[in-house]
Amino acid sequence: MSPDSAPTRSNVALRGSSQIVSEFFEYSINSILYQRGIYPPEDFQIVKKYGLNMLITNDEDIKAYVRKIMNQLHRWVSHDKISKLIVAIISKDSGDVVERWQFDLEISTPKESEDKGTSTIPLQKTKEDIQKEIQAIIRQITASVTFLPTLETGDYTFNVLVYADANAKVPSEWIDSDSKEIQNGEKVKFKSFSTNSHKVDTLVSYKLNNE
Amino acid sequence: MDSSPFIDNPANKSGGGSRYGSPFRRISFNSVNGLGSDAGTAVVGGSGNDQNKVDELKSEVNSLNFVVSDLRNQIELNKIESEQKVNDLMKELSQQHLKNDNLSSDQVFIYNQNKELNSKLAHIQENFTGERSKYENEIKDLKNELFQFKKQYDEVQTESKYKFSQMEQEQHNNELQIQNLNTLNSNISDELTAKDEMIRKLKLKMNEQMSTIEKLNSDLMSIPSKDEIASVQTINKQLSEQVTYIQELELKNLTQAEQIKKLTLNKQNTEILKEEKAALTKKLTKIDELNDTINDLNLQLLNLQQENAKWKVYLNEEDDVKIEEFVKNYALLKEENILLQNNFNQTENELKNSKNLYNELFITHESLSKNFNTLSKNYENIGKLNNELEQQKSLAFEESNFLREQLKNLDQELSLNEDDKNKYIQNLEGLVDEYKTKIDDLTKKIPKEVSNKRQRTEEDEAKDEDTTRNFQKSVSRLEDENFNLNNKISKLLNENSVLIKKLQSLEEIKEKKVRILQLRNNPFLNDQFVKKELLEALTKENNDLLQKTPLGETIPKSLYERSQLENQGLDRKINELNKRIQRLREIFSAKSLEFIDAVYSLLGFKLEFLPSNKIKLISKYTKNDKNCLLIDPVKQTFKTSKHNDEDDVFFQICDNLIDFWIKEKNDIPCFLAALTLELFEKNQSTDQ
Repeated sequence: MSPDSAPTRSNVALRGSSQIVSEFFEYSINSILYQRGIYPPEDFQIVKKYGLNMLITNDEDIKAYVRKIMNQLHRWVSHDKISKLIVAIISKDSGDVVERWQFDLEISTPKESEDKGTSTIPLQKTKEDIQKEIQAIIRQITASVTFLPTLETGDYTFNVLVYADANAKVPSEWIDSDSKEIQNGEKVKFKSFSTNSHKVDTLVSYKLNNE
Repeated sequence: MDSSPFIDNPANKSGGGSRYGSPFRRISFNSVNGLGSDAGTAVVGGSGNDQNKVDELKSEVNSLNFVVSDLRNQIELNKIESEQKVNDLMKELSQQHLKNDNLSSDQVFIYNQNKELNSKLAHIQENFTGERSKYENEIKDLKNELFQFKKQYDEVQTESKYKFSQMEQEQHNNELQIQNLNTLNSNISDELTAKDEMIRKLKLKMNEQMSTIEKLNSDLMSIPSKDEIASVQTINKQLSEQVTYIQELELKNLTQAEQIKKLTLNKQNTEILKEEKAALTKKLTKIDELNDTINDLNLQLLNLQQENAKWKVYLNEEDDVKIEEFVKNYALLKEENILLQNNFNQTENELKNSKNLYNELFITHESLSKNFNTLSKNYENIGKLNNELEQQKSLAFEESNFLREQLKNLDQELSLNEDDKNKYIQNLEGLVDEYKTKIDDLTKKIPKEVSNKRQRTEEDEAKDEDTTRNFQKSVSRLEDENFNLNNKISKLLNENSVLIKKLQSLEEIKEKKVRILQLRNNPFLNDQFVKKELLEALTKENNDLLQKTPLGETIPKSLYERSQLENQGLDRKINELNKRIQRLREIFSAKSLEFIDAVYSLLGFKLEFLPSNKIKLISKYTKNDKNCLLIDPVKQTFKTSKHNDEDDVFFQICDNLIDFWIKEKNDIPCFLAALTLELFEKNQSTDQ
């Protein structure tokens, strides 16, 4: 589609969906930073989102960093240029990746109703349905502290990686990175959520303390 | 219109109807008299009955006339309508004919066009196949060219890089030279101006001296004296010295002019170098463009590699086969495969035939073996019979011998009696006949038994043959099925391996096509950068300290730098801690506000914690905020503050309550509760 032409319905839907997805990424990054104790709890403030009390950072530097990522991410998501978002939690002393939160993003086609004898109509997901699914994931992230190894506040930092398409336009602020994989790490898959245009799977891999 | 009922009927009514009454009038009459209708009219009408009938008939005739005329009109109208319809239909028919003609002509035209298009299509297809092969060749050539261009481009790029670096170096040197020359030039020009000024001054002096000389000469000519001569000599000397100095200056001037010439040459050279620089920058831009094209080509290359990988999936990874050769080999292999398949089919057919033959032979073999068994049994039976017969024969032989002996004896006896002899011979003949008949019976019995046995075995054999045939057929069928299933399994296994390879290659390609990105300025890299900086500073400090001589008293600069870095780190930490404290304060203030609000809403007192460890209590029900209670929990003191005299009521209440609750009961919470209740009641009464 040329940039001058009027936006079609699907285009609008895609934009709305990418907005939802990038918002989810922002809140989940903040939740991970809070729940995993990367920054002290006083650095966070409570806001209402997805029908839950979400915690977002108060620190201006981290805010700016996350905002910068989200701005670019929204563009990439709406143009279907990314496939993964990684939040790597890294030890400041050793530089080892101790936790790797992976969000897989894929374009999904809406399901169709299966009424016999009638023409198939794509099932449109309502905002409430999407919100319920996101709620479930955020709850799982919150509950993950029960099985994930404890991390001392101040000893760890984080980094956000994006798996972008090779043809995607990359601003000069972005540079290449390694995948920061955890070798032989434990993996736990979380619930997934989907909009009418996207599907997001969540997975955490972590290093066990005794290793 | 004479026949119209609307004209005739009213006239009839006025003429006949008015006199004798219309049916309406008749009914009304009848209704008055209360008689039957027909009877009433008959009695009243009397003589005018025929006339009535005539009138009725007339009216009927009139109405019928009207109906007839109406029908005629209708018929005429219908006729006109039908004519119109016929005309319309005729028109439509003619139009349809015209349309039909047009359609037939169109059909013919379309048919012709179709023919032409078919011929064109065939022609185009021919051309297309030719062109396709041409384009394929062209694509191949272009690929080759692309490869060559790439090579050339790489070479050109390396050369250009090399040249560019050389030129940059030259440029740098030239710039340095130019700078030096410029400074030299400026110095020399300054000197030159100074020298020019000097020359000018000297020339002026020389002119002055020349004028003085002339004057002196004239004076000398007029008054020659010894002193003057001496002065003239000194002047001459000075003059000669000045002349030599001027000559030296002129020489210097000449050398400087040469130097200036050289400098101008250098300037020209620098201009040429500048032009070269501009050309090189243009080249650089071109190189940038070429870099873009290289990126595009790399993308194309990646796509081609993908295709190559797709194709390579079907080959072993170690094979380094070109696709053209592979396709050629594939075609050859395909032909070979077809031939082999034909051969395979033929051999398969032969195998099937031979199998069938084998089955038949097997069946015959089975039947023959059974026959053989039966025959061997028969043979054994016959052997037994033979033995029996042999025994009988030996018995018969012995009997015959015995009988011969008896005959000999009898011959001797016969000589005595011929009658008895005859009788005896007859008896013997009878016995022989009996034996013969017995032997014949036995010999007849043997083939019969054999034939019976044979008949039985043939029936069994037929049955056995059928079962074996069925069995053989089922076995061959199952073998075929097994063979087909084995083929299928091998095919599926091959497909599976190919698909696994394909999947792996696709995953690899996907991984290649993805870039993992991070922000340049991220928390982890920032942390690493600080650490790296500190490490570098420490290593530098260490090296400096190691290199430092033991006698030296100075401290290396790197030590200071390292301590600066450490200070920066500490500053950062201090900032972070300050931030944290600030946030904690904010949280504390927010929470304390919440607490004060809760206390205010629940207990009705606003709490203010004063710096002097005192607590200020302001009731919810006081009109003035300055009417408050001051409690010192350390010193156990209690104060009331008063704003103005208007609030005496508040203090009266307070005093009363203090006397009772604090002085007597020593209970502050009850005092506060009582105070709020009192103040509330007071407010209520004043509001009312």
